[in-house]
Parts: sequence; structure tokens; C-alpha cells
Amino acid sequence: MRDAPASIDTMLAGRTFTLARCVKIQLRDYTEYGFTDLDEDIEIALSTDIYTPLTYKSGEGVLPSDIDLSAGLEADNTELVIPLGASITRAAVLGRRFNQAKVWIFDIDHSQAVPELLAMMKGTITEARIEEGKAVLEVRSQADFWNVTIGSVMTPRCRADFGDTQCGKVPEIATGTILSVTSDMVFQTSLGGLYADQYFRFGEIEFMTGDLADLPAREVVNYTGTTGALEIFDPLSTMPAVGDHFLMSRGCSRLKSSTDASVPTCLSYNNVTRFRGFDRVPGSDVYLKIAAPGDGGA
Amino acid sequence: MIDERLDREIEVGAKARPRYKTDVIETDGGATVRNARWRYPLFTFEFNLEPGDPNSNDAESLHEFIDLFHCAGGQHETFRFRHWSDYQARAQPLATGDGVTTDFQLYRVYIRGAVSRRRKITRPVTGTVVGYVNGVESSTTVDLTTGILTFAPAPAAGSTVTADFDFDIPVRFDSDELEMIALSNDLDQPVNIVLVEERE
Repeated sequence: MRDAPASIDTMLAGRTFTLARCVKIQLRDYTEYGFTDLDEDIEIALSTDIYTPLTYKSGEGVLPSDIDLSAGLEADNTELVIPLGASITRAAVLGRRFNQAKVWIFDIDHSQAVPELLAMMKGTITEARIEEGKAVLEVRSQADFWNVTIGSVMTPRCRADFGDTQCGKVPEIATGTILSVTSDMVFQTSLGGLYADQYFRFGEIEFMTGDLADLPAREVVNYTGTTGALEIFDPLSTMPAVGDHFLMSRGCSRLKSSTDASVPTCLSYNNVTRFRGFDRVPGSDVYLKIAAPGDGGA
Repeated sequence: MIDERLDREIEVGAKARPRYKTDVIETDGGATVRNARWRYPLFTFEFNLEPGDPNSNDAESLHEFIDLFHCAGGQHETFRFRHWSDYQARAQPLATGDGVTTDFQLYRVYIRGAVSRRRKITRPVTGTVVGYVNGVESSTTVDLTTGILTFAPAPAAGSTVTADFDFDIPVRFDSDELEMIALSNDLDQPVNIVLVEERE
């Protein structure tokens, strides 16, 4: 049962409403944004505010879709459609700054000088993407936390994450700076001549300074030992700047062993006793196998 | 914002249409549930300068009007418009002082019986704004682009803060096109003009 303040209760019992919807977004770095569909900016204090009171902006054109609310354990969800602008930039959305941000959606009685609130939904942004010049933020309610797979999956590759308690290894971390930038996926680092080729393949890079600081880590695809050249798996939201500091950690391919010495595996980490894959269980690859002359169907 | 007004001859006679926005949901029984979406109204002004109209005789003001349309770039830029039947606000209640707050937004207040509705004023006219605390004229400065009146010192707790002011409305053209009829050498007659208020 949702509790409404007495004044809103009375309003809802009648026929004439003065309700406006407000949306508050709190990023993981505690940056806060407020939006409203009222015709003017409005300040509202919530107990979860980092900076009180937060101003809910009116002119940004935020459109929450209809909210599906349910009483059970089903996760309620909605989509926020926000034109890209001063608050929400393309780089921030593509840089995943909004992923896992907390969202509060509530209605206010805008006829009051200090408006009373009617809570609608609290949730987390599960996906942020760009569609036709607008940011689309998918919000799922707290019940979504129950929506997890329990048990373990049988896969040929190791199901432990590199460095977690099941793996037991401590990933080696190196710090460096950007020396030059070729594209948003390829750059030269100061880590040339220090490590072997592909030493950081499957590893992660995380920026500590500059515009990309505090964004989620990106996977390393190629590392050239002699020059320090680096290639990452997917493009960064903005180009890194020369001189940006970063942390780079080694990774693991989740394979037990590999004939390619540049691929980090359980064997190369001397950790095969903790390998959690099922590499001998036949999978779909058996059905997809193509006979080659002379190999006897092996 | 182009900080210019049209000529009085052109502004007078405009048809004004204030509007609000209400979501109305009708039930099967014919009753309605109504949700007010806006706190403040938006105005639309419509006028038609027909040839032969006494307002249209002034060639200079027509030239100025056409210049303004081009400077505004159609719907792009806003400018000031005066609604001549409602532009002077006197003794408008703004707020009750708390001894700390110095900044007060100007409001044009409409009152009928026990109900009142405020209209936010963002473009007061320079030299017309006077602030009062409990009816006594006080030292104030006004921001002519936001309509925020600043008192020094802050009005005492419990005091009534009021203001006198004239105001304009920030408007833009409702169309990127301007219809004009050539009247004579070097004179065009704009017709069917619609201006809409912009929120600030």
C-alpha cells in the first residue's frame, strides 16, 4: 500500500488535480539531476539529496513513459526519454555515466508553495542509449534486484571472474599516461618496453584523470610491448587527452590453456586447480563441426 | 531576446488569447477528472493589419515591424510585446518576508473571491518597478531579464512585500513566414500576424 500525504489524498478523492511529475537521477558519482513536466523550475528537498534542495528543471523536455506498477515481485519499469542538452550529453550517455544510476519518480502537488510528494517508483537505470538525438534511459524498480540467476552455468570457459575469490589470483595493475591518441579505440601509452607483447590482453583500462575519469573500465584487445600501443574493445565516448592517467590491469581469457602464448589462461597463471569451466563437455560445437578430409571426424 | 517592442499603433487592437493546459479525462458516467499541468498561462496575440486600417497608415511603424521580423529570424528570437489592456500592475502581493530572503519574483496576481492565480512576470519595464514593504517604498534593484526584485535589506519577518510595475510579455512569431501585400513604392503591408508567448 502506497501512502500519500493527507493533502494529496484529499485531492485524489476529488475531481480536480494539480499534479506534476518529477524525476530525480543520481549518478554513481553522486551527481544529481532533477527534471519536471511542470511549466517552471522548482526546488524540492528529498531526504536522499546530496545537495539540498535540488532544482527540478522544467525546460528539458523529459518524458517518462507510462509506469507499470505492480504489487508482486514483478519489476516495475519505465523509460525516460530526454533530449540531449546541457544536462545529459551524448558523451555521458555513451560513456555509460548513467548506467546503474538511481532514479526516483514522484508526483507533486504544484498548487502548494512547498509541494507535498506522492512517491511513484524508485529504481535503477539498467540501460542508457541514444535514439534519434534523444537519450533513452531504461529504469527498472528495486524488485529487479531479485531477478538474478541462481546456481551455476556449465560452460566450456571458466565462470569465475578473474581476481574474484573463486579465482584467487590478484590481477597485476600498472599505471601509465596517454602519450598520443590515434582514435577513440587506439592510443599510445607510456607503458612501452616494460612488458611483453599482449601482456594486458583481456585486461581492463580505467581512466583516473581527464574527461573519462570514473567511467566504467574498458576491455583491452591489443597491447604491443615494445611501443606501448594499446587497442580497446569498444570506442570511448570521447577521445582521451594526452597526459591522462590510467590504471590497466591484466585479464584472463577464461580458457584452461591455449596454444597461443599471448593469450592469458589458467595454465599461464599457474591456476588450473581452480579452473571452473567444463571444457570436456560436448557443446553445440560438436554439431557444427565440419568434416575435414583426413582427420577421421575428430 | 531582442529588447524591442512593436509600435503602440500595431499592438493596440490585437486579439489576446490566454490559455492554460488541463488534462481532462471523461468517465463513462460523463463526469470528468481534471489535472492542471501549468501554473501560469501562456498568451497568444493575433492581429491583422488590413489595408485601410487606421493602424496601418504609419509607414514607419510598418517598416520597423518588417525589420523586427527579419531580425527575429521568424520563430527564432523573442521580443517584447505589450498587452495594452493589462500591462500596469499595482500593489501586487509578492510574498511574506522572512527576514532573510532578499530576492522576490514579480507576479501579476488575479484574484476572484478567495481564489487567486499568479502570473510570473519576467520582463518588467525599466524605471517602473517600485518595491514596498508593508506599504512603505523600499530600496530595491530589479533584474529586467528575470523579473527578480532584490530588496536591501531583506524585508522583516512577517512583513508584506508588494510591488508596482509595468510589464511586457516575451513573444515570438508563430510562423517562419510573414504574409505581406505590396501597397505602394517601398511599403509592404503585413497581414495575419500571430505572436505567441515564450516561457522564461
